[in-house]
Amino acid sequence: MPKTSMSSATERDAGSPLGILPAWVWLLGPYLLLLALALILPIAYLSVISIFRHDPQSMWVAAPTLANYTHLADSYYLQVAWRTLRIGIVTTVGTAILGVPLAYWLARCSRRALAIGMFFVVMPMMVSTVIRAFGWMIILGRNGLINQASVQLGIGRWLFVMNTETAIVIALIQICLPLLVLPTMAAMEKIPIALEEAGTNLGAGPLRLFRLVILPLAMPGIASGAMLSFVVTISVVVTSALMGGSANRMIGNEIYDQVITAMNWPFASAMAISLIAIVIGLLTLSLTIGRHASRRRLRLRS
Amino acid sequence: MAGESNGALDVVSLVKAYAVDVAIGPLSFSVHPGEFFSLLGPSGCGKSTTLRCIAGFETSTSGEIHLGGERIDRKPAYRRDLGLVFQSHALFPHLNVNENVGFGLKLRKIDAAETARRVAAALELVGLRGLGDRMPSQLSGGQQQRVALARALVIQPPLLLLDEPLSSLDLKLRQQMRDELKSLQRRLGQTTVFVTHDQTEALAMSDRIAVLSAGRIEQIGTPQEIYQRPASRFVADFIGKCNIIEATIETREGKVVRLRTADGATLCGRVADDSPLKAEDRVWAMIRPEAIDIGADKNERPGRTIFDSIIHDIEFLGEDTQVRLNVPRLPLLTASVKTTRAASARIGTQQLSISVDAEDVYVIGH
Repeated sequence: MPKTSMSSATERDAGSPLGILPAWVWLLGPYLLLLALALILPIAYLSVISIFRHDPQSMWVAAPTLANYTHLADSYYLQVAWRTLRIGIVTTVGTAILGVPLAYWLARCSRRALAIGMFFVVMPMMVSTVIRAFGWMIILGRNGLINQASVQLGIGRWLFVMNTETAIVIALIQICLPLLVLPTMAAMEKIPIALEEAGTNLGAGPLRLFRLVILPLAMPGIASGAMLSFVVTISVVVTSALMGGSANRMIGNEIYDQVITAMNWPFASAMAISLIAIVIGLLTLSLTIGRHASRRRLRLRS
Repeated sequence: MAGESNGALDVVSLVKAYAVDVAIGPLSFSVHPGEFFSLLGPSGCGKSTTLRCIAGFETSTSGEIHLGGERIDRKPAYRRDLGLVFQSHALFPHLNVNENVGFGLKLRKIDAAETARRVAAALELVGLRGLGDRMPSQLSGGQQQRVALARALVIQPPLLLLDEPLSSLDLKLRQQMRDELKSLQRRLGQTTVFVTHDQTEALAMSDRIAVLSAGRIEQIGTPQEIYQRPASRFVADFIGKCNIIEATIETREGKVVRLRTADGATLCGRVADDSPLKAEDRVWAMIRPEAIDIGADKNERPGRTIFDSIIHDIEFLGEDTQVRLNVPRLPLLTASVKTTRAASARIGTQQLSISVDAEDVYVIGH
């Protein structure tokens, strides 16, 4: 269908300066150009550097080697990789647990409540990640607001969460919440109220209605939101450095250090390429599982 | 399959008040076991709200709803065990036909074999045998409607609620579904409440009809009663076409009254047996277009009024022809005749003598 509208647009434009090239060139061209220059080219460049040998003077020597990748099998880096995936999974699950009910409420609330709710969901996105991390430090720190209040109340300090994985996850959930809520809400808005009423009428209480009708129908939105959250989470740098301290480094921090401090670009490239490969692999896996599940459909369980 | 647990529905002084909208009620009506009962009225009359109160999607402000002797209006909607067919069908798009129909049975923890048997029986009943593996998107509008009906009937509800289920179908299909729905309801003896704004549907399908307007019941009666003896001007106007003439009663003898309009025209009409109307009362005289006899016989008979008229215009509607007539000292009258050669010949002239029997001039108070 887009094809016909494009070709008719082209016919209309024949004769005008725009008509020299087909419409899709004008519509997609700028973005494709940006993609080629800012994504595909650098990735190609990185993958080449990643098989070069590191050299302290010239940064790298064009001598093909797999040493950068075998170095990644070092138990330290495996530990960092596993921590990164773990934080990614926990954050995504936590975001979904908080975000799905919120998305449902936003999808069903009044227009006015929606405007206010959307403001609070989107507002954190307007604050830089550094500022947000500082905000969390002020609240959660050893001498943070919570502990100070506890001391005042005579309970004493009890919250020692800063510089742990938990702190990273807390900050990341806040970052990921709008990424999950917005597509989930869009999917839920499309579910007609009559479907909920039909389910209720047939005997489904609120929880079963949610599980049997709303969740399966909103799944495409939840899945894309969860994927966005996961991808953002495992490539994070600033949040993990500020919230997790030196004991809880993630892949992003290692890459950053190799690029900026150690000046070992070949090794940094190998890590970056590995991260991209992991992301693509996991997304493909989850898409395949998702497609398989939707083909098999969600069978009713009583 | 349904029918064994059919119960009577009693709606007692139901009121639904809104902050901004017009309030509904108080409404009271009873639906007998096995009856096909319609709530008929224009949009905004409160018929859908009444249905939604029965189904439990709206909470009534006051009043009671009883089903089979049990009060249900404070029960949550998912515990009421009612069958409901929506205007939009509301089939679950992620489930196939079998799973849609079986949804209510699974929730009732009926075992798989029994569920399969009852789902198959329900699909058979609505004429969709063998389509259980289709997805709703692969079905036509009429088939989706049947699945929705099977899904509502398979739980053997004591009461089936139909919320304008036919209005999303095109005309031919609508008439066919109307007949099928009616015969199915008869066969099962399924107590049914049907909400519609379409008077033809209501007249064709119902055992009894409640006509609603602005949140109140105007009249409850059989289709014949509603059509022939409308209780109010609104009912006469809303159900079918009607000539409504404002007049004053001159004399009354039993049921027969003599009327005089403000312009001095006189005609005979009849009031209901128990009507308290008497001489000098201001009334509406209501004449159905098909009750006006066009020029066939000019013999005077008791109770018959004859007018001389001039044809204003003629509208050909196929089966029927509608003639609008100028009658001295009366408003423009609409008459409807079957399109026969004889009738066409008669309305070929400019002037026409028309007559109407007192029995066909139904008179109600203002």
